[in-house]
Amino acid sequence: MELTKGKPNLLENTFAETLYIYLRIATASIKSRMEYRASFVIFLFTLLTFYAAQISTIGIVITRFKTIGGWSMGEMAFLYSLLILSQGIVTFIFSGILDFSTYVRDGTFDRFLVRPLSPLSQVIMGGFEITGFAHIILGFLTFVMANSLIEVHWNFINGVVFLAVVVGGALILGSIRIIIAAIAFYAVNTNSLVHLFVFSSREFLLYPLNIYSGGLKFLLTFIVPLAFINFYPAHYFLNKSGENLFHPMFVFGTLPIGIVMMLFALWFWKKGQNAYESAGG
Amino acid sequence: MTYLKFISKAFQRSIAYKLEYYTGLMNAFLYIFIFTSVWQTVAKESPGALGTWSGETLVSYAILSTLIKVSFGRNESLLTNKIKTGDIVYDILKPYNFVMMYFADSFGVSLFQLFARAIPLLIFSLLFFGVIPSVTTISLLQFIPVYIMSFLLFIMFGFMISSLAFFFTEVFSFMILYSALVTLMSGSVIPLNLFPDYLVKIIAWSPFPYLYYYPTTVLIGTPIQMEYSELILRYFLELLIVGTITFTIYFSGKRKLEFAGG
Repeated sequence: MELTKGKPNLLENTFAETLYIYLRIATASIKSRMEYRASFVIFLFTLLTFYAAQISTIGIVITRFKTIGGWSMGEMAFLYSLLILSQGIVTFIFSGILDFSTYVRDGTFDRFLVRPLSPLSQVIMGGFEITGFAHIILGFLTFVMANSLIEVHWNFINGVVFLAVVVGGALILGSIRIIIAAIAFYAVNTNSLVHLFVFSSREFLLYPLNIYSGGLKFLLTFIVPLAFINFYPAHYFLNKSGENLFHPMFVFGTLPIGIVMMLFALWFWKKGQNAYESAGG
Repeated sequence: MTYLKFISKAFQRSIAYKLEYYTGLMNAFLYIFIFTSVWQTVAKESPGALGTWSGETLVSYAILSTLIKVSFGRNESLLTNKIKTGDIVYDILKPYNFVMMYFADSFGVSLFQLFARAIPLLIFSLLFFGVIPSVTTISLLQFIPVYIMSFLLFIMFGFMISSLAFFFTEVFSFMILYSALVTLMSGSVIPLNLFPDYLVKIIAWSPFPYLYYYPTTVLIGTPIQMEYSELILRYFLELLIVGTITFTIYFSGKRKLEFAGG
């Protein structure tokens, strides 16, 4: 597709052309990442080592104690696979936004504002991260492992629900990233917030929610609804009793909550962007 | 005197970042909540699988190992940024020892972490969890040298990874690798005595359990499967090995830099 021929103004681009531009930005981002091939391979290897270490720690606990909060090894693997699959999509799409506070701090964000494209989409597509594949492969492997250890009834409807859960989980995780990034419009340096809300908070999801105290359960359900990424939907697939749930319908809550959170995140971003004053003065 | 100034500067720098301070505290709370919840749950579900430890010992371990981890601090980008930007050249020319400066800076950051993070967290944990770790005067006295040596190991690991920036464009991958090894083998997540015996024997020869597992077990007075004097000797050995690797990387990197500078 020729982008400029016969188009005097980029503002007149059709949807397809705009999409094409975003794809070009994402491709450029992947190409620049792949330019340092050795670094990329080392990164991929270390990333997999990190996840292997994480899985091993859970494996050691579960091998010794047989269950954690009534969840067996297969069920824990299922819980983990839901998290990692959603994480994979988020890593693919929302990695660029993690460094957003740097753009605000050094004034680079101004560059995105003068282009006839959505600034948020530019930030996102400019940081497209190919290593999301590693997460998806890992998520798939743990999913296969879970299915070999426990019996999960699969049919077309459950397959569709599963996909909806993974997408919903990705929307929840992605919206948290956008909200934290938008805080940079007010707080400038959000690195520690990124660390806390994006990386550390995920650690809660490595274990079933029912092991935590009432306050934490409330927090992870109603304030930062991370429990909808894996704990609640896992009840549906694993046919587990709903005594740990605030409400039995919560097992279907992942996608609706993901959509609501994403809408809120986009509104919050817009609000922050309107309040933005360039660091350049 | 110069290095005392570096310590003080690092301490003051840490105070300046208030948001970072509070989120750091919350981060530590988060890990304490996760680990204590896990250990309380499994101790209740399968008390027979705990071995020689009780549920309370496990909870105390989770709190204290997290606090020890929180009390260690270093400026991860101090050396890497200087290498990337080339500013390291100016630092080497300055009338102080750069390695000593790095260590002094890490010491300043850690002092801040100890007093502003670890101690308030300890008070909170004692009140919130109601678990009083079985720390005695003897275990506390035995803990101090072990803690100092673990801290030295911690700084040397940081300096080793940062020094790799002389050879690689990006050292982030090495940080992840280090983080993976620490997660699995340092005892920061699972105490080593819950591992299968054959794994414990292997891991005990790596430097990682000397970061958090041994300091915590010495502090709470649980058996360490060896004499205290042997543990100290092993610490010296680990410091020697890690130190040799660290300084070999740093000095060969520095030589490479001088060569490139012409």
